[in-house]
Amino acid sequence: MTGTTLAPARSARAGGGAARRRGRGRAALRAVWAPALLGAALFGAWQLAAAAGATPGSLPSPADLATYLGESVLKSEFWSAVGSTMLSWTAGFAVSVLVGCALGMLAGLNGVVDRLLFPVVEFFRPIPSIVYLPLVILVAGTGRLSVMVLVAGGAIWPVLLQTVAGVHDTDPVLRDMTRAYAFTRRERMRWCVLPSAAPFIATGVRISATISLVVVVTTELVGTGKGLGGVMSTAYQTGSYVVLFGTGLAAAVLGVLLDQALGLLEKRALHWHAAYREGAR
Amino acid sequence: MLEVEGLGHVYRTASGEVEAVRQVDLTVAEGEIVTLVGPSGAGKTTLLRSLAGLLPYSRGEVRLGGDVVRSPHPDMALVFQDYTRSLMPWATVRQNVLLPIRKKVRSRAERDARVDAALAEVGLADAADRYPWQLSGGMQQRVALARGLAYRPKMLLFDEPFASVDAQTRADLEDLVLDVCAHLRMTALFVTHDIDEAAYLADRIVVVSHRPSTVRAVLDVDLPRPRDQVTTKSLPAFAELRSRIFPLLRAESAEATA
Amino acid sequence: MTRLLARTATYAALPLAVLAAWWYLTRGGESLYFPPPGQVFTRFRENWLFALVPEHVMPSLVRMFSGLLLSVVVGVALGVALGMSDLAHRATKPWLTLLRSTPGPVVVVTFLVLFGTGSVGKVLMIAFVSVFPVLLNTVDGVRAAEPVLLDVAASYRLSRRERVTRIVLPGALPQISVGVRTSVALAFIVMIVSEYFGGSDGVGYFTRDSASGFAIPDMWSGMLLLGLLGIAVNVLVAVAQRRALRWYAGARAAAKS
Repeated sequence: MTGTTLAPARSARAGGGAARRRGRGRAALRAVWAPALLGAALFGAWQLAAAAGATPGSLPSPADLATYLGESVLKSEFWSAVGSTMLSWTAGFAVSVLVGCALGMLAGLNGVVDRLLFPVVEFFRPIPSIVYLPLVILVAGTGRLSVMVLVAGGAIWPVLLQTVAGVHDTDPVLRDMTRAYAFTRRERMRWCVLPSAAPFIATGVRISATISLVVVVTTELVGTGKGLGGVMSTAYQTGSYVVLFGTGLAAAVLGVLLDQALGLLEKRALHWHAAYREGAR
Repeated sequence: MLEVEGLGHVYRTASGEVEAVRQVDLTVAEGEIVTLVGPSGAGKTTLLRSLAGLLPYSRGEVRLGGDVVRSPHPDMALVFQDYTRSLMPWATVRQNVLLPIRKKVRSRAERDARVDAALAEVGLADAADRYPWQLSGGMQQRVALARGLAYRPKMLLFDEPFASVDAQTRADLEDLVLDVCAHLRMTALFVTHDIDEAAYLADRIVVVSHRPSTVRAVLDVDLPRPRDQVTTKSLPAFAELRSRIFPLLRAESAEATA
Repeated sequence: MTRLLARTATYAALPLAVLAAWWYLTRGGESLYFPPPGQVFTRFRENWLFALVPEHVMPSLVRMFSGLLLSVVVGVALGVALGMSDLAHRATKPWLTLLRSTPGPVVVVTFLVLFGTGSVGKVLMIAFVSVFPVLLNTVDGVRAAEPVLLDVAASYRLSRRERVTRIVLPGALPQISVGVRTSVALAFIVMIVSEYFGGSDGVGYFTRDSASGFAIPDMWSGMLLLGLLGIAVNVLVAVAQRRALRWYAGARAAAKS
């Protein structure tokens, strides 16, 4: 199989429009059937092993999980748990992005702020917010405020650092252009600095989204007992393993969906960027 | 229109002071096209950025229509060398041309009219809603020129604008600059390192030396207008002009490498 | 020299200011959750220099580095395999995405159920979560192998093993090390979370146990240690990375000039 990596794509490109469409269709098919087959094989083996009693008793079989998830998605409890997790996620993530972006802009444009902020960032960034989770929950309780503080404590750094890097990356020629054509301060921010930094910020935002979900689920599990993490925490204590694994799977799917959604948003917002251009010639 | 007296510029770097421009005097009269030609690395861009008010100069004075230029002057528009970097990829052609005059022209209708006129002037009326990166290099540089025109300056500054396009496109763009300047009676200062281009466009040629820049010679060009890529360049006077500029530049680079 | 001093001063300014504020605000000593810094430092010295190091610090670090080692070995091996086969890469991609997106704490609880609260389970969960950055970066690095170098390898008839060890792996090393750096941060987080949940030793366990027992100065001393460990691990990896990739920095600098 090695060495054939590029061959299909190359032959497809060599053909005309119809052949290219067919080639693309075939590639899409490969992207679908290969993982589908692998998944079927893995889940099949797991199911067989579970039926034969060869898996640990605490690990539910795929059929049990599917049944549980099939029933759950029809129940309002499941969706209120998802909703609670999403609400915490949105709140904490929004704070991280807004504050991170604003501070990053300040530090990127102003050397003094940069020098004051940098040591603080370098000091606190490597400390995961989970370290001070016990304190925050003791002091601020298990409400949404605690979750927001913890999420922001973990998720602000990628946005902040990426924003600074993005602002510093503004092309000097473009900066000259805005001066030569007497752009106002606001125009310069809106049309030069912000779009230049946008691809960097987007990367930071996607990393922050993932971190935010991790911190939200952790606080739910350890402290607040709400949301998907709360469901898992209860299931863990009561030994309902189907619920535990099923909800875990749902959290994983939620993570994938959030990341994909942000990826789509990024693609639309940065349609002009070299990596996303359509019809560039 | 433009008067430059005793201009000098010294960079301060970690390893000491570097003199980029020593002594430049030049004038550009109203309606005149002056080209500034010098070898590569002659500090031409530094010189031009000083004239445009983008770079504070260390000595001398730049005046535009009597005003001392210390920061970008509203009567001056600059066409940059690197069009891929001076056009905003996130903005359409129309937005790129419109943005500089968004705050300066109150009436929306007049703004749009100016943009349309500028785009028509450079032959890009159809490309207004496309993005710069969807256009060829030559077309992108036309957008940059249209942006300068829509600004309605009294004077255009060009910083080696056609250095990175192919020969045919370059010839077309040169003719476009001549047409536009004639049509709008625009004053222009055009920096280049290409002798043919300098001679073909100019009413007057200023030859500058290798860095630190000084003016080596000022040559009057009496080639007839309108000019034509074939007939003008085959005139004996054109050949004679080239042969006067060429040694000035070559002697210079020989000195520099010696 | 003065510049170094000035830089150290800027660096220290804010942490020192925080410390001073902390001391000033807690000088009355009536706050339940915020003991005066002196008390915390005393407790820190009593606990971590070095009375409880064998009991709590060593297990944490041993588990973290074991998990990390496991994740690097598995991640690089699997990454090379997937990176060199297009079919395997396509077939596994969506499943890897799903597993990678599983929030760390979810992995922690499910692994606790499967493997119990002992050290083996914890090492496995650390390895599981931190394998993905190494794995995915290895795949990317291998797939981006310089085609010219591969042609050279083919024309000199290098064996498959030689191709991997001499060409593919060194070429992918910069990318792999980026992955390792992310993995270290993840391993540290999973180490703490895993200890919050269960078991009877580790700095995370100690901190959470102190919090639920309202032994506030102990909790603070644990948080302080975890914070310092986080910084130390980060610095250690950055230094190791710079050493390992010296050739790469050199090549890049040469390519630029």
